[in-house]
Amino acid sequence: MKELKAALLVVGFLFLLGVSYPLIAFVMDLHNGKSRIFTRIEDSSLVLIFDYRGSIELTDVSLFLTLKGGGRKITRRASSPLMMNGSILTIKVDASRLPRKISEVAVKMEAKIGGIFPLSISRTVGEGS
Amino acid sequence: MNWKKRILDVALGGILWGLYYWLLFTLLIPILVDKFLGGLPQIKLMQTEGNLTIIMLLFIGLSLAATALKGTIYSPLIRALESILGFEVVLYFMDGGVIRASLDYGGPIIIMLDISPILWEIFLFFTVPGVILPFVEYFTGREEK
Repeated sequence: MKELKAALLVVGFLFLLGVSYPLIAFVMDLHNGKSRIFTRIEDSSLVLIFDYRGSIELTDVSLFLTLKGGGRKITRRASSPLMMNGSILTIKVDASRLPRKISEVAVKMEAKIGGIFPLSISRTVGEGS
Repeated sequence: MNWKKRILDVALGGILWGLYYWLLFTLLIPILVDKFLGGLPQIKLMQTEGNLTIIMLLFIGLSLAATALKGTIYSPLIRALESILGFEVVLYFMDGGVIRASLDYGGPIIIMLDISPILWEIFLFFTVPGVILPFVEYFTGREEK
């Protein structure tokens, strides 16, 4: 019985390491800071780009952009079932559709790290931040 | 019966088992997960040094009772209770499996990470055997007698 307990303890710790591996790798990539979410103006459109640089696959990825201003609010969403190192996800908003005097910009990214761990990263700039 | 030896056995066994449960669930597993995640969870250990002593005394108390009552059905019941309590402690230190952190990258970025798969793994490999094995040990021990 003692051997069984010891074996289960060892297997438990090995499994803990195995299950945690995608998280460990993702957090290390996060600290390296190679992945970026940024905006760019292209052909009179505002483009939000998520450039993923990491060793772990992201699944069920969704990118949200919310712009508020002048009593208007627009929300755009882009999604991808799978993102790997070098994958890019973009949201394009035509400049004519942008609210006047934007007072708040919120960006949110949701994904599952290695298809296992749900993750949400968000940033709000402006009134609600 | 040599009472001195019996008391010494119970005290030693109880304290060692109590320390084992305390080290495993209160220190080893939460610290390992925190290290795995590069300190992102900011586990509450540092804020709860007083609680650590209370949890340690609770585990030692339960283990003393389980060791003293060895051979009765209460011993596996208390051991099972210790494993469940250990899982509760892990849940407490990991905020129920949802980690919220705020990182500063030229402004606050809110990160929410659901690590419940890790908690399921801990439940499956540490809590479930901790609940079942004492009963298996108890009933097989009775059959052998």
